[in-house]
Amino acid sequence: MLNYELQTENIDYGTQKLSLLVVGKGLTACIVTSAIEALGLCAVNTDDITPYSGLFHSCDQASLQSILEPLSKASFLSRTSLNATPLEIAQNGHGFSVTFDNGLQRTFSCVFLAVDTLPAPLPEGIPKEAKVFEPEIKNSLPGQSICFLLDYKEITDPAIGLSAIRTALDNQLAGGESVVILQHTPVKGFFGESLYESARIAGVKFIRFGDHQPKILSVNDSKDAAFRFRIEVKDIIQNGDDIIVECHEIFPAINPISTNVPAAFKKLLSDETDTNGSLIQDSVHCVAGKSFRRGVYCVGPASGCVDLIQTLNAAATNAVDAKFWVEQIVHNMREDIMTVSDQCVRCLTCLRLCPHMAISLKAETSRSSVIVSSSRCLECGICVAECPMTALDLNAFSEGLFIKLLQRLQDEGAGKHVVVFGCYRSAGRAMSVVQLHEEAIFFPVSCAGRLSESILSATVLACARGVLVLGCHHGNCRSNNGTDWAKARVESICGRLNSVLSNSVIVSYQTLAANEPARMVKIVNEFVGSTKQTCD
Amino acid sequence: MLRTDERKIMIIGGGIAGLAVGKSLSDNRIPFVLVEKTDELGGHSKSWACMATEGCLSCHGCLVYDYDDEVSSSQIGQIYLGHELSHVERSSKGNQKVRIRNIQNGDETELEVYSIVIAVGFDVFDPKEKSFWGYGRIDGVMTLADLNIIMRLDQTEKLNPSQKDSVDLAFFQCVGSRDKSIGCNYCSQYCCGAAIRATLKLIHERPEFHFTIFYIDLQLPGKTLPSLMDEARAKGVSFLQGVPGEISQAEDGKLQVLLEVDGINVAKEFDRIILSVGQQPPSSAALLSHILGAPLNEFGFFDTGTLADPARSAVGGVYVVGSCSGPATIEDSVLSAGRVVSAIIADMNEAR
Amino acid sequence: MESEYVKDLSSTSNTNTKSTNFDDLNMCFTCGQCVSRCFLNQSYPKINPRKIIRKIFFGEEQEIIDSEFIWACTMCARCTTDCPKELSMDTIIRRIRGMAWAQGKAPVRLSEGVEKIREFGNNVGMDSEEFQETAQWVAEECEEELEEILEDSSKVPFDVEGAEILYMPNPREYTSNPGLLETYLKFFAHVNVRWTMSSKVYDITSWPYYLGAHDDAVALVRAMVDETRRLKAGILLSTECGHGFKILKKDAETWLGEKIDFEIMSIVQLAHKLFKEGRLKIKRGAIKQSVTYHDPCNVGRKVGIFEEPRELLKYVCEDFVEMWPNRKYSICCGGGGSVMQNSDMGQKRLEHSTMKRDQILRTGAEIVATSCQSCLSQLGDLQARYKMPVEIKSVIEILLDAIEPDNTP
Repeated sequence: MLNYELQTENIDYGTQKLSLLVVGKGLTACIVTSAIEALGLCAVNTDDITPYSGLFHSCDQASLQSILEPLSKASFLSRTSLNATPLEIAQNGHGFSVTFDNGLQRTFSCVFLAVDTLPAPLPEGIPKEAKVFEPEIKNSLPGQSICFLLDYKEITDPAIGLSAIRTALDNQLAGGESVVILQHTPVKGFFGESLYESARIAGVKFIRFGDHQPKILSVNDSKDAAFRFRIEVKDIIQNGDDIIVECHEIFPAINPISTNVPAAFKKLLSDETDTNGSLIQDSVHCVAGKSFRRGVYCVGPASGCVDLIQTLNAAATNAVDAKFWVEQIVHNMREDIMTVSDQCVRCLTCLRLCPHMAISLKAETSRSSVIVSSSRCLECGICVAECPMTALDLNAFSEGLFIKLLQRLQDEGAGKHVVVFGCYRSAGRAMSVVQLHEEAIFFPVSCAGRLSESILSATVLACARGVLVLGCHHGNCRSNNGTDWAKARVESICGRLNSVLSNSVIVSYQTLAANEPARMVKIVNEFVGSTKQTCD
Repeated sequence: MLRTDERKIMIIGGGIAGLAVGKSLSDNRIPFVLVEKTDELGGHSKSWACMATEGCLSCHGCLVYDYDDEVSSSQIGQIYLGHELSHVERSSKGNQKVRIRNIQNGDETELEVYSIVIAVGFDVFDPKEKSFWGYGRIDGVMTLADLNIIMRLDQTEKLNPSQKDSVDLAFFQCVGSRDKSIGCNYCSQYCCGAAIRATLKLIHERPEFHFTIFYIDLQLPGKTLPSLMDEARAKGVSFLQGVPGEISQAEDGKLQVLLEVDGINVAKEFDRIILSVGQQPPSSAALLSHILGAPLNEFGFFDTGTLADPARSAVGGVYVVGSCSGPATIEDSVLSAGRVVSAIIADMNEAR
Repeated sequence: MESEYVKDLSSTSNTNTKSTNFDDLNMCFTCGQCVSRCFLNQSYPKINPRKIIRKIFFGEEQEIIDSEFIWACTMCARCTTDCPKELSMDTIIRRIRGMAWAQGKAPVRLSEGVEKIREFGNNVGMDSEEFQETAQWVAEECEEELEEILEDSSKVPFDVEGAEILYMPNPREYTSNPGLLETYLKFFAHVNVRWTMSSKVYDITSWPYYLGAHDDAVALVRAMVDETRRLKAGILLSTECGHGFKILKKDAETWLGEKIDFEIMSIVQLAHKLFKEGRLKIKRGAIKQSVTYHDPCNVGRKVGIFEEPRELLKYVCEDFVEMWPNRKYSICCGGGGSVMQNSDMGQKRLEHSTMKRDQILRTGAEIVATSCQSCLSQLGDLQARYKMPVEIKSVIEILLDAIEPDNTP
């Protein structure tokens, strides 16, 4: 995907109050809009919002009401929305230029994906007469014998599980009979244990199954003609014959599997989304649903979260981050973060690779140019390392110091030292508390992603006995995949060295965290040892 | 131009929650004073070991280093290490006069702050309280916190001192959690994930380790943990429902527990047993509650009123963040920090 | 953050929905701690406390009622010590036994005992006259010794109104094991307290309690309480009897629905009190062998008397060693809860108690002291069966061995 800078208008970020786009029309959008406006920022909604809680799970009816009530009176609910779906979201300076399906095009400083879930389909093995559990069934309980099935084939999210237990309890108190069949009772928060206890005291039966999935049958031969389902389940504690549960209704509590994510977002977050289109969040930097694309946030189901309380927290956390982004970060821009030289042929490799949408193309009829947005750039240097023309330069990586390193290696003689390149966030911090092997020279970089093949081979050619690259663990890499780039480059160099230099120099890659100083020493010592062996 | 608010926020506690609040305030140009009773920022998260195997297992422990850096280098933050809050003179409008005490020499410093954030975290349950488990009495019984120290120091070989080909280890979940008899009738939230991550990490480093995780109910919220459990199962970790209530030492020095497997009572032996100890209210809670007037709940954590507004305490201008209002993971603490900063900004805007 | 809604709910549910006996078992959340603390775990591999609760939960209580396990269980309640949901297994087992009793499935010897209790007020079926004669005969057997300690002490006091203490014996003392009564008579003489026995109520044990025959058990407590009041005694003194003492101390007020207006004390507590007051003169370090103490489940875990016997023993014994586990975690001797009295169980109780045996052997002690007559017999039988190199003694017996010679006035 290419992010062309479509508009060239000069926006004064210091004075103009920029708006934040909220995509979605349900409770999540309502929560996000409210969180944004609470901070004095201005939200624009794609759709008219109805704070419908139907697809949201909360264990506590009273809290749900106290959350929903102020939301249902919010002034923004009566405001006119854009009533449009985004078709294309493109980076535009510090903001985003969004093209909608009704032809509208507007610039926003941030975009929030706040869509709700779609109900999950019944899993295989459950009769089609059953209904997937939704919190809304609370209002239409028949007061009969009802079975709630959790953890069927996959662990039910605790928020959904608690919601189901809450409903089971309500049904029991309303004169019905509730059976909850599960593997693990969710007991989140102070509320969870007391809800579980209340349900047990009220007489809700909890059956605990193990590796054997319960069998659910649709019946019409029951003594009580109204029983529509029979469940055969083995309780792992009772450990006897199957327990037979007959009931009027069965509600499997199933995790939602898909979200209403607009195609434009899937495209925008291409390598950060799973098959459902929700944010993968396998990085610790994605807490709360913040994406690696600066200014793009996912809240609620779009980040895989169906817990109401957590969604409220995530909305607030992201809104605070967005406020920072909108109001402060533009003031922190630095001119000198990266330079693009005349060598640039506009191949747009950098633009494709940047995980942060920091690079865009200023399109001109005669000669377009590559522009780096310093507010977005995290100085990982992936683009610099991969630029086929070496037209980019990241100032955080000091060429001068690197040349000095090469000089030192050459001066001190072949095979005397090994060089340890390490990301400052992990190896760099660990270095502050350890002393490395005397034959190892540590060289910190802003991100292992900056370590181009040319840097690595230059080090090898400068007669280092070995080159060790210490990246962050994937998931902790601040630029998402800088560490993976480093790994790939080390593998590539190794491949080539093996064919040419017959194993005399070792280039290796390992991952490390800041809180692993002891492991760092061990890795480096082992590396130093192994390079020695090869030399001998 | 950049404008810094003249009103100052005081954060009590320099663990992950306090640091996350400090970072976020600093981002938003709101000055802060962070008071930490120990001599180091980072709290429990900093004593945690990295759980990464081939990739990161999303324990979020690394975040504390980023936040520490940002808070420590903030131009608009003051940090008092080795200090604690000693006195607050409340006023309904404007700044509150507070005094903080240098724990070492007793010197007091007077400050004026606009509002106060309680971020004093949790205490770890001491399993000696229930001596059936033999902690402190039987060699080889350790807590998750002890295990983390060993893992941090990269001394996992200590868990197999006689270098055996096969070592049996077990995790006991819910030690000091979900237990009325010790006043902790709540789930501690973090331990299931922590135990599963630790087994994966240790198996990765030491293939000779074999794990059994004894649980009551596994709590696996989010997308990551269920897949980590599947991975652990695939790597041979046994998950057994029911946590043995007693550990005894067999003649051969091994740790023996009686339990039920597939309906039959059996005696099993382990080389090490790790107690997944729960979170308890911080020891400083009672005194702080007295100084600030912020009430505690029935378990001794700071009361935050309703689920709808977990950021504000019952007292105006006093906010509660992280695990001092109830057991929390690192991720939970970071999210609650966002919620608190959002509430602070909203309240400051309103006051203007 | 708990909502009011749930709080209200749990408080009302606790009282309103107790329609059946076993509603409180719903509290069990199958944590499994009890499974591993049951000393019968290996003897009955297919059953354990948690499974019992679970079976009842699923309506399969008949299987439990018909099981041998409920009679092998000593109701020691070790399994539910510190139970996270504060359940108590001894009451649960007692309720199940009550159901078995109601179905006519209780062990014969115990049922017969209850019949005797209904007729004679004691489980051996001894009438008042015979009891008094026997007691007096025991005193006469050691007349010289008693008189040497204290003048007139060889005359057993019966029905003395206004005595400081009403002493409630265990039937063993006037049937199978008169040596114990002799011990206590000497003890009373040494400490010179004003005490009496009742000629009407003279059995502290409660076999109906073992059977879950609640009404019969209440009647026995009622008789002891009323007799204490009739004789205007300040203290109802329990002999070294675990369950009898436990019922008086823990259950009496609840069962009778009234406040007890006199003191209830065990003879070991009394000894400790008199020792503290200087009225029991014992010699420090008089016992040279190494001694350990077995906490009877009822006296220790259920009533909380741990330190009094230890203080006394540590004073008179040169070498006092603890066994582990001890105090509230103490392992049952294997003879409690009617297992001793139940002939159907045969000698199984000795095979079930290897944990206790090993625990004692590990201490290396030469004497095992305890303060419950069931424990004494069971430990004695264990000693004989496994030829353990130990002596089993009651705490009072050991104290008598350590009396200062100048204690005699």
